[in-house]
Amino acid sequence: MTTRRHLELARIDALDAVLGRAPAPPAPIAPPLARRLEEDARADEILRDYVLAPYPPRRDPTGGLRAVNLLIESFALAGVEDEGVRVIDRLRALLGLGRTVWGVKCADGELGWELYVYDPGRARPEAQVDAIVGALADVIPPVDRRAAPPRIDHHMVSLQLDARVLRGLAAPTLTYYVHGDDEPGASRSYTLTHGGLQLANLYTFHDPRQDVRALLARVRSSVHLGTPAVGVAALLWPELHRCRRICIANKRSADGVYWSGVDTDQLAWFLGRMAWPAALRANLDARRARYGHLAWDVGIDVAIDRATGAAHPTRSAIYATS
Amino acid sequence: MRPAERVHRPGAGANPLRPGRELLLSFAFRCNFACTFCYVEDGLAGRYRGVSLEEARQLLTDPRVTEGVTRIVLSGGEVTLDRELPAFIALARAVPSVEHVRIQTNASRLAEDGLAARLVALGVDELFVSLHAADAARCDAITQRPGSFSAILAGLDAARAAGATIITNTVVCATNVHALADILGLAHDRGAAAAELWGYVPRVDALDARRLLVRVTEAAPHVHAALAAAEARGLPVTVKYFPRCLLGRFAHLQSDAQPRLVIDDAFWQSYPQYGCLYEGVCAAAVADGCTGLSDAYVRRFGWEEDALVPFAREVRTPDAPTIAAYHSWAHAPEVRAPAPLDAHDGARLLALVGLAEGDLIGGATALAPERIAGGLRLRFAISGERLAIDLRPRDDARACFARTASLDISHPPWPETTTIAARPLLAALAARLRERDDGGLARMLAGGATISEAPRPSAIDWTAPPPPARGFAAAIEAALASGQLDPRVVEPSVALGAPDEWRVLVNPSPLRRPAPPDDARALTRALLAPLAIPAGLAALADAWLAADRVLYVGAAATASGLRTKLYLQTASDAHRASAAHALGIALPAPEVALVAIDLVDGELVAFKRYARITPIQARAESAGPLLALLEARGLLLGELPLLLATRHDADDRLIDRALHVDVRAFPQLALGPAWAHACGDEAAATAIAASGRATRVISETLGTTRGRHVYLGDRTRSRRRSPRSSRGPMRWPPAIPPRAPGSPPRSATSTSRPAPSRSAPTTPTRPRAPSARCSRPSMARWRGRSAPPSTTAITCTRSPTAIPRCASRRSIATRSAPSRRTPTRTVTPSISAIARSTPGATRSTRHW
Repeated sequence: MTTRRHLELARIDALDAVLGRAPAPPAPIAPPLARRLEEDARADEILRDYVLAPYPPRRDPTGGLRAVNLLIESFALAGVEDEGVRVIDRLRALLGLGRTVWGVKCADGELGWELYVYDPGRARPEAQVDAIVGALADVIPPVDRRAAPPRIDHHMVSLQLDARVLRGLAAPTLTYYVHGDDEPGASRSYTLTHGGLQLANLYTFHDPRQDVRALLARVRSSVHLGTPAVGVAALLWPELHRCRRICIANKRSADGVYWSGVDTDQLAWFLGRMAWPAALRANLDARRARYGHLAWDVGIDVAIDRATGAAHPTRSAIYATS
Repeated sequence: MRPAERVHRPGAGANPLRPGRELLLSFAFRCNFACTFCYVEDGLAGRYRGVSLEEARQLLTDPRVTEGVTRIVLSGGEVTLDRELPAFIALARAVPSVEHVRIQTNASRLAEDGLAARLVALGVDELFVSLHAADAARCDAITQRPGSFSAILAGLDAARAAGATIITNTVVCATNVHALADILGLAHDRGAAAAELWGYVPRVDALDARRLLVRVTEAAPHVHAALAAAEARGLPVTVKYFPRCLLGRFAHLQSDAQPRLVIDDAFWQSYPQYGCLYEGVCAAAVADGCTGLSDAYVRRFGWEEDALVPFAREVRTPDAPTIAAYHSWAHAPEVRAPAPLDAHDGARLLALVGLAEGDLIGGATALAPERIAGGLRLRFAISGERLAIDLRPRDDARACFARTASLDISHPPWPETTTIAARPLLAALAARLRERDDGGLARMLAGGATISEAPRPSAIDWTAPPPPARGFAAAIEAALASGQLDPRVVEPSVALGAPDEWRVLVNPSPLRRPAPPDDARALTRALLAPLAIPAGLAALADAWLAADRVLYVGAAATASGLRTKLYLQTASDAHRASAAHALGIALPAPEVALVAIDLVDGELVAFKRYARITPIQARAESAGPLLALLEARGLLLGELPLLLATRHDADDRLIDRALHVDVRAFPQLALGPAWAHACGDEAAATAIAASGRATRVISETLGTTRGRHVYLGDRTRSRRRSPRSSRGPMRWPPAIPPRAPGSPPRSATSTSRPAPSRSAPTTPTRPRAPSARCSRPSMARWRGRSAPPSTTAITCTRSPTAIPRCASRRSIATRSAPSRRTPTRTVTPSISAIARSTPGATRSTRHW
């Protein structure tokens, strides 16, 4: 939990250590659902957020776990561990460790996934769509790209997966992400459909402390937020506001907010707040300390409930790298 | 749209009873009341251990905890229920620096059996009394104890009669928000010397299920009325956990400062979180300032984005009324008088922290520093006030507002009205010190040994530099010893596979502020003196520095020769044009960021252009092991600064190319040792890892197995680990064990080639022509000449064919720094004396 700002100055740190008091013994950790051995963090590996920007570990990673364990646990929870792990392994072999961003999404208790591959400048042949699709050719059904334009100047692509896709029963959805010159830091996504590219989302990225005016303007202009009694707090949740960056997304039927760089306690709170499957929350809770070096990215979609007229979250997601 | 600005009023100015150098001991989590808003029974009792009497004894006899503490607060629960309270009071009174012992109490027992008088007799002189209502019905409803109101009033009377100073504390919540003025009036009538209003802290009620939170916009008029009434009575009030921007003319009364609280570490993990949408842009959102709204509040009422207005500028307000009966911490006398410093020593110490007397930093003016016990006191003037900031050797157990690698930064009591105004100073000073302190600054500041540390050793522990480099090493040592050179800018590098090579770069440039700008040129002259470079080039370096351009002075030496390097930044068009003009070389815009001149015995043997390149270009230039190493460690080339260095002979013929990768952002990857390891130089890998320096740049000469380097930068490997002071000085070059006869070579590269010859060409494909040194008349002319006067042209008479861009006469000094007089060879006395007396400060007569 982020310590309140001024108390960092007022408290006496490590009182137990000053007094020589033994810390409370750690609680036993329940085994994961996933069969695959949990991956340990390495002290010298680079941690990256959901735009692949490196960040310093929040604490010493020694003895910690990699974020990918939570992804694998989510696969196991949905009964597609083997299929999901194959995707991870193929992309790691193609792109390297820690270079795929993944999102686990939860809507009405159902889990889904999206894998994002960055290639700013399109400098990496292995990160091209052909290479990605090729690497996954015998793992998931191919993407139908017949309607894709011959050239798209994108910086990222994503593949949207669910259990049906992982079982080979449906094709993944391909989305392209392109930068704009908008301020501050806008980008757009286009989903590839049978009819061609379809504008999906518009994203802007904000420093929650310095870009507050722009942030407020973006939230206030939401057509999916209505006029909630708590104002912008309906979208800008205080529990997650202590983060590195906030992204506001305008979507076709909802608006989204993404908090980047939240800590593991905030992640645990978020999963509880969004009623994620209890088994996954328990898995995280038991490993909070071992995930403590990580920063996570989380997001929600908010739309107006037509019955009540109130804005409510329709979907939530967490992001990290594998 | 709301107004963009509002006058900022510093807080914490009203109540001289707090804050201070306070220490709060929390030890009795029981209470005879059950106040509806209280979290003691629900949030503390049974969850935290509190501090036992024995632990309190341990803490209060530990100078790390008690240093500077002038007030000890005993808190629970209701501490008067604890039979060990007298023992706690005695412990508190036994702390030599303590002036006040305060207990937090509901006062209900103070009238019983003369308890108030007994507490005063034991040493309690301040009572912090909870008073949440002005009438019995409301009070008893809040405390959930019938008769509590009358007991409290009797306790207040007993406390006053006993001579204790009373400060009341009122939690502002939905139950009593309409009665705040009456409560403060009652407090004053019952003898309170000051009062505090606390916004409700929903510690165990994150969803505000108790419905005690009150909307700040609704509470504000009542708070205003209460403060106005208190003001009329002369009762000082402090407001906590209420947005300062809603307090109008009473904004200066708000402060969320807290005493240091001694409680289980776990307590902090569940403390209510506070924040404000505007905290990143509000001048009041600083430490001890306004913390904003609790998460529970925002959940229920929102961020109040339309009601709150960030403070945008700072205006000092008149001091709040004070109470003479109290020793406000702000006026506490110094325990020990600072030791004066003579002007020279003071200036030197200020220079070490990057300041000079009269410098402006964070809106404050630097004054002469003072020695204090165990440290150095920096002094500043700001808004008519004088402030002190203390630097002491780092002790992680000591409370301070900021730390650097080797220092704790704290300050003695300040006038409270200056606290907010001084925050930019604190931030700027902390940033500057962090930038300059690689772990050795405490020892450098020790100087006169007032700081209780060992005398400062050399920051760089040279390991017998080869004879040609001794003068350069001595000049560096002298500059380090005088404090004019920051050890962080003395950057060694390792030529992999060449264990005997001694390579160092020094950056005295003012842009990096290793030294005060005024010293940079003199420092450069001192460093150049033993390197035997032509006077013209020295003048060029001087002129470059005058124009605030980065300039490295480097030397690479072996036992048989010395090679000098000057690096000139050409980042801007003007710099680039100037460098091209002065050197007579082409510097195509915009990619060339740096130019290096290689000299041997004062003659140009080569120069390099460093151009920024993209990852795609890097891949095209080299698919060699360097990129493979980086990618194998999970790095994306796009996030690494890449430079392609093209080396040319004096006739501008390409000799070779090298890829330089700046890896300083990833110290945890230990890329220097990894690169040495990949190149087969295990000894270098070990030495680099042990050097205590982070790798700044790694490089690879393309198309050859030679020319692989690791440049070590200006940061310690990990500031969280032991500072360098505990590891001793950095040794350089790294101690590489001698290779036993018959043992395998250090570098895999050396298995396929003989050891590099001192006179061998730098590349097998483009050997340096013997005539190269002399084929550049302009360079030859520079050799041995004194610095040209400002109007003297340094000519370049190369033929247009050979150097088409250098066909006319030109004046380096005039064109490089047209607004300044040409620098002379005058050196500051201390440095020049050092340089002249340096045994190695003679020209090398041997070629490298």
